[in-house]
Formats: sequence, structure tokens, C-alpha cells
Amino acid sequence: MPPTVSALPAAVPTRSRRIHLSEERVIGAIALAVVVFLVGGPLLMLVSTSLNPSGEATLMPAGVAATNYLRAFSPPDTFTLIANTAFYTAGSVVIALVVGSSLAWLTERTDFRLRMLVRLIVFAWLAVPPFVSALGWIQLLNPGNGAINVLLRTLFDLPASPLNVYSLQAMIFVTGISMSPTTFIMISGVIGNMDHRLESAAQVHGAGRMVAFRRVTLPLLTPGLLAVAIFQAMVVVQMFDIPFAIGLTARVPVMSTRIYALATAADAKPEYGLAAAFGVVLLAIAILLIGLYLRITRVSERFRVVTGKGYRPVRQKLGRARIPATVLVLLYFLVMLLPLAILLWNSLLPYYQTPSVSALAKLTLQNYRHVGSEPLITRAFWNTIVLVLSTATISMGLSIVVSWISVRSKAALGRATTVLTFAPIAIPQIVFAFAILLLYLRTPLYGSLAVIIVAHITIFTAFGTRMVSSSMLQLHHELENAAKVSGASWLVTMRRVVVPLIFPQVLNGWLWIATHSARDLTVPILLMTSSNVVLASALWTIWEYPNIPEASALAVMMVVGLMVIVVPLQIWSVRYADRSGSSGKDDR
Amino acid sequence: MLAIRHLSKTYHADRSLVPAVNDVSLDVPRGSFFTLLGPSGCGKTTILQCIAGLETPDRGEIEIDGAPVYSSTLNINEPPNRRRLGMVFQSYAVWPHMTVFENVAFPLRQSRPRLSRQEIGTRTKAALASVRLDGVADKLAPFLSGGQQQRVALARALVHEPRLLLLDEPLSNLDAKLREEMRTEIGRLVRELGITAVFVTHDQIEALTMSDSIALMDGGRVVQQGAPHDIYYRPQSAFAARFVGNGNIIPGRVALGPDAEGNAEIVTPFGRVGCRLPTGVAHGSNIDVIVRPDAMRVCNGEAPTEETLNFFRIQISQASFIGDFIEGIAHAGPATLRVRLGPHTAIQPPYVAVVEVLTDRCVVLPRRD
Repeated sequence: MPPTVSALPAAVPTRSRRIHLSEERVIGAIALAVVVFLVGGPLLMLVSTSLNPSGEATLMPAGVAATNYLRAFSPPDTFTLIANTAFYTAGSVVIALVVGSSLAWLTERTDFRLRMLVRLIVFAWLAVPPFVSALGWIQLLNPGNGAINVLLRTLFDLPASPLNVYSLQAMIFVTGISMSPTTFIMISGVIGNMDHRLESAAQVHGAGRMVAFRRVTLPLLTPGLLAVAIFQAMVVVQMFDIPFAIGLTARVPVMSTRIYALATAADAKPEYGLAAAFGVVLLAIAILLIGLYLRITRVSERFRVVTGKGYRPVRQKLGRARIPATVLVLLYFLVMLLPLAILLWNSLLPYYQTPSVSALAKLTLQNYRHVGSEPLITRAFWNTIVLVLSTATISMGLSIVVSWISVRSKAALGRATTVLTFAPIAIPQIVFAFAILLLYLRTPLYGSLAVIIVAHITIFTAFGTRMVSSSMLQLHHELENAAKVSGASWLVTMRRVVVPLIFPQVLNGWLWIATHSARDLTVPILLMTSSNVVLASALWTIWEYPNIPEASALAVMMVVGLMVIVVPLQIWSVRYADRSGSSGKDDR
Repeated sequence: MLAIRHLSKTYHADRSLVPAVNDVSLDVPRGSFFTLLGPSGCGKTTILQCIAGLETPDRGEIEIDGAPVYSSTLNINEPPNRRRLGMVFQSYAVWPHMTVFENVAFPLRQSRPRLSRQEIGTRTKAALASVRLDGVADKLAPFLSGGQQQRVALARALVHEPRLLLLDEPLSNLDAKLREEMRTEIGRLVRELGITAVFVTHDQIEALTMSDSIALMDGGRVVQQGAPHDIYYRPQSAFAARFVGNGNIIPGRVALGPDAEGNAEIVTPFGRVGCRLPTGVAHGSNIDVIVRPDAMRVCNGEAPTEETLNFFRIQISQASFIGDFIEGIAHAGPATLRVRLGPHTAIQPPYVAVVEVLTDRCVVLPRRD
């Protein structure tokens, strides 16, 4: 019985297909346009300014010339700059890797008892802005009256200070230490993902513990560790605030601070063309590194063997090594806490002095009272609240729409969206802030808080999109389809089904962006005017003034404020990960 | 009720075009249980998604209740939320962050004009009662068993009295016993409500037991359409015979006849079969004989001589005890056959037997080559 065909007209291919203005298309198109404008605008400005022979900021260069690039890289200055940047990056990464991987090995693979303490401190460190730790180290190690220098001078009766914070070495040390917590988290992941049975297999087949480590474990871990190293190298190349706090006085310029110096020259005309040329070069380096990173992670994915959860390796017994291990870990915490401790100390004293018993009598809260009543700080405080709330909310809103497009649309559109929103991850923040400065320089937006918000949204949407899209990928598309067939429009589907289902990740992303927006110094300092000061830039202003006790008080307040958000969030997200892991097992 | 005309959909995969649905036309009368049956990749799910509006076809027309919801000539493509349908998904797609009640009430909350809270309550409770889930209304969906989740999905698909109920392999994730139970349950509900249902499955038993009408699909086309009985007993192609009922397809040639009543003798690789030919098959033409596994009877003791028409010696090399029957792999001459034996047949492979082919259960198809 052939299918019966009634008298409906036979279909002919249509020439034009009407575009239906459904709400998802409209909202999607708006979100995409916003992202294209936010990311593309500044980059275009940066490149065209770098090619403009006159050195002026412009979207339409009068001509195209390599003048700026040639000037930027004229010797002998350039050699120092490149060497500084290279040493700074390599040194910091090595310190972060050595510290991070030792801690990760201790907590993941041995019966080390202080495991929880390590995790807690490492997670709490997210609340410490890098430049705040740099300020602490300056108080500890400055050659004049740094607390540690004074201590060493009196102890050993030295004529001069043995340590100097204003040096490339100190800069490397402070950066390496401040990056060790994130390195630890990443390496823990690498070690945790390894299939330990491969190691056991080597031992069963006659390899000793050292041989098994050298021949099996290490080769398996290498791609992962290399990926971490490259990722962190990218972070250091982009790092601005520590080289800014320490390197300017030390006269150790790196690429990122050079861009700042050229763009904000206080006594001369800003060299926008030169700064843009440096910016493009730094951008190229960062893109190179992220390309390398993606390549290596793709290789290491191949090494990754899917393991059943709950398969835990036998933890090595530390035995007699327990005591030195404990001492080293405690020493590490001391190093982490020292800069915060000295800030706390100085925040409680009327004027700067090195710690001593006699000074205890002078402890006072007056700095905190002053900080609280100063109009600059009050303005900065409210500005920061507005900045943080609007950045986090708008970024997450954009992230959700953009992630949905990149996850759900099959065509090239989805891929293009993914690339576009991830791009800011590879763009150094100082370059981006500078490009935004160029773009908005002659608009009323310049100098307002809005320009900082725009910059932060552009930078942090990339991170938000990453978090949201990975959780959206795990949502079965039928959950969404069920809502659509039930009569729900796209907006209702998003509001009632998609967002509630990924809410933990959305909240996590919101808080992550809020914290990073609050602690970022790079964007506010480059775009700072008297009206758009936020807490990070206010802290820097007071420090430069110099009013060290009040700056310390403000720093302590910022760290405590961030910690109140960060620590519960971190504990919660670890618990959440544990719970969702175990509930999966209960289902079976 | 549902009319599909010249529906086509092509997917782009790795720079090549894969036609998923190729010029399909179907009519589903009001109140019938209509099944799209076929192997995976035959396009049945794509058709269902086009009906739901979750996929956009390349060409064709889809009409529900006399009004087009998709038409490439008229440039109409109604979004899924305006088509007033109910759908049960393969993964159930029960929303884990809502209670059972909220899941089922969802389609009612979307209907325009808005329904009163009281009406939503009453209708949701009635829907839950109809799938016997009254007791668990306040539970969160993940705390339900697989069968219960399936019922929630069913209640959600029916609560707003949709124009069509679409079922996308709803039983494939259930274990055997539950599957049978839900099969009856879905059948009962659909008949009680008098709703028109379109059901997608690759399981011939589901299709044969539940449907009023089956469209058998292969390679993006409907190869045969009809009542379950027709599809099973009158396959029109080797594919249909193999897919529904595991028919053995034996190549042959008409050697003698056909006579006035259509009876003929066919030469097969293992002997001569006396069989009735369909009209239009001439003497000497190449044909396929479809021999179902249950169309062979083992003759114990009373075996006539081998030369007799329709009796053959076979060697059973493998026998699997299924429970209700024994399935065996047999060799007759160069041919390999699938045979079905009574559960009490005492055989121990390798086992040689004489079987009679029950030719009234066989079908002859002209060879298309």
C-alpha cells in the first residue's frame, strides 16, 4: 500500500526564506553584537593606532607605517626590556611550579596530615589581590626600614640591608609565591586525573618505586605539567600589578609596565603609538602561548584515561620525612602570611614602624576610622560596589546568552562565538585596558566609572562564558526541548529550566567575577580619573601619597571583605563537587 | 489530523550531505496510534522532531488539524511552543529541579489565556492520577525510579490536552518487564483519551503490539505503510521482511509454472520449493523467497524422502534457548537459515533434521536488480 498523497501542492525549493523574529534570535543577535563591539572595537583601535605614523590614537590611521614598531624595538633599551620580561616570566613560573607541585604531591599522594589546612590557605589566597601582597613585601623588604631587613641588621650586626625588594629577584620571588596557590590547584588536577593503576602495573612488573616514578609517572605527568607551566607563563607575561608596585621603583621595566608608562606619561605627551606597538607585540606573545597551551592540552587529553571515581591510589607513607615536610609547609604559610601580617601591624599604628614590643603600646584603630571617613574612600567604596555588582551581573547575563548560542547552534556561528568570547583570555589585561582607553579617549565615557565597567565586562565575560558553557554542555538538550514543546517560549525556557539547572555554576561564576573585579588594579589604574576611583585605585593613591598606615588599613579591609565572600564560596563549591560526585554513585 | 507532504531534511556532516529524510509523505488519521518504525539512522526521529518544530526541514509541508505548522512554499514555520503538542522524550527529560507536580503543571502554566491556579491544580492532579502517580506529587524528580519518571513525562505530555502526542522511543531506557508494563499503559491512556499519537521506535514488537498503522522507514524513506498485520504478513521488500520478523531471504528462480492459480516451483540453493507467486512474476524470473523462522517445522520420524517438494535436510549448528522457543542457526546446502523450534525440541547441535517449509507462511518477492 503506497502512502496516499492528498492534493496539497508539491513543495518546490524556496528562493527566499523569511527570517523569523523570534525572541531567541533577537536576544542572541543583540548579545553577539555587544560582544563583537566590546572585543573587536578596542582591538581594532589598538592595531590601527600602532600603525599610525603620527603616534595619535585613531581608528583611521593617516598612513600605514611600521614607525612605531621600529621605534619601540630600537636598541639598547629593547634588549633590557625583553631580557627582563623573559627572566621575570621564567623565574616566577619555576618558583610557582616547584612550590605548587611539591604541595600537590604532598596532599594528593602522601599521608600528609595538614592536607585540609593547605587547601584552606590556598583557597583563601584568592581573596588577596596580588598588588596587596606586593605592598606587604615592600614593607618587609625595603632597603631602608623593611621589617625583615631591620631584624637581620640587628641580629647579625650588619652595616647595610642584606635584602632589597626593589630588584628583579624580589619581583620574581613575590610573583612566584603569589602564583603558587593557583599552580597548586591546577597541578592537583593533573595528578588527580592520572590513572594510578599504570603506576601500580609498573611496580607489579618489577620496577622499584623510583624507577616506576621515573619511567611511568613522570612521563605521564609531563604534558599536564608543561601545560600548567605554559598557562602560568602566559599569566606572568600579562601580569601588571606586581611589576607596577615593585618594578617601577626598582627601574626594572617589563613589557606590561612599559605600556603603562608610555600611555600615562605624567610629565610629557603620552606615546600612544609606541604603547600600541608594544601592546600588539605583547598580544602576539600571549596568543602564541595560548596556542601552545591548547595544543599541549589536546595532547595530554590523549594520555588521560577515564578512571572510575573512588579509585584512590595508595598514599605513600611519609615516615621520617613527615617532620621536614611539615616544617617546609609551615614555612610556606609563614611566607604567605608575612606580607598580610605586616600590613595588619602597620594598619594599627599611627605611623610606620618596624614591629617591636615597645610599639605595642601605641596600637590604635584610628587608621580604620580615618579610612572610613575619608570622602575619597567613601566614593571609592560606592564606586566599587556599583562596579562589582554591574560587572558580575551583566557579564553573567552575557555569558549565559553567548554560551547558549555557542553550545546550541551547530553551525559556524557557534564556533565563531566561542572564539570571540574566549579571545579576551589571551589578551593581556593591560593591553586591553589600554586599547579601551584609546577607544573611549574622546568620548564622554572616558573618565567615568562606566568605562571601567565596560572594560571589566569585556575581560570577565570570557571567564563567565567558560564556566557556563562547560556546565551547559552537560545539560541534555531534551530538557530544553521538553519545555519548548510544552509551550514555553525561549525566555521562559531559559528562566525556568536552563538557568535553574546550572544555577550553582552561574552563582559560582558571578562570585568569581565579582571578586576579580573588586581586586583588579590594572584597569582602574590605567583608566583612573578623580571621579571613577575604586577601592583598588584608591589604595594605590593613598600608598603613593604616602600614607602607609591608612593604605595598610584599607588593604586589610579589602582582604577581609573579599575573604568573607571567597572562603564560604570555595568551601561550598568543594562540597558541591563532592556531593554531585557521590550522588552519581548512589543512583546506580 | 496530521498530514506530511514531501518532507525532506539533509544534514551537513563533515562537508558531505547526509539526507536524513527524503521526500516523505504521510497521513495520520484522527485518534489513531501511528508508528514510525525503522533502524537507527533511518530518519524516523528527524520526522518526529520536524513535527514538533525542534528541527526545521529543508522542504515540504506539515499540517496539523488542517492548518500548516510548516510549509516551505508558504514560508511558514511555527515555533514548537505554539504548536500545542505533547512529547515524551527518550531520556524522559523530567526537570530535576522541579517537583513532580511542577513538572506536570508546567505546560498548563504556559497556556494562553492564563489558567487559574485552581484549574492548574485540578488538571495536574487529574493527570497524575491517570498515570497513577498521585502519591509522589511533592517529590523531586531525581528521587523517582525510571518507570515513575517515564510516567511523569507522560503526564506532562498529556496534561494540556495537546493536539498530538509525540513519543520518541520512550521505552528504550526501561528494563524488559517495565517496558511491557508501560507499553500497555501508554496504549490504554492513548485509547482512553482518544488522542492521536505518533510513536517512534526501532523495536518491532512495540510497533506491532501498539500501533493502528505503521510506516516502515529505511534510508530516509517510507518503504511500506500499513496495519501491523500487513507489514508482518505481506512485506513488500527484503528489507521489510528482514526487519519485521527476521525473515530468511532465499534467492531463487521460477523453474516450473506458474499455473492458473499462481502456484509454481522455485529452485533455491538447497532444493525445490513449491509456492504461490504474486501476480506479475513470470516463468524464469529471479525472485526472493521469504521464509520466516517459524515457517519451518521439524519432522520427527515421519520424515518423507528428501526429494519431496518443500522438505529439506538441514543441519543445526547452533541453538539458543530463548525460553518460549529455541532459535537455531541452520545450514541447508550453501544457505544459512534462522529457524525457530518449539521449546521442547530436544536437540544437541550439530543436529541433522528434516524440516518442512510451510509455504503458506512464505512470501515471494520479485528481485529488483
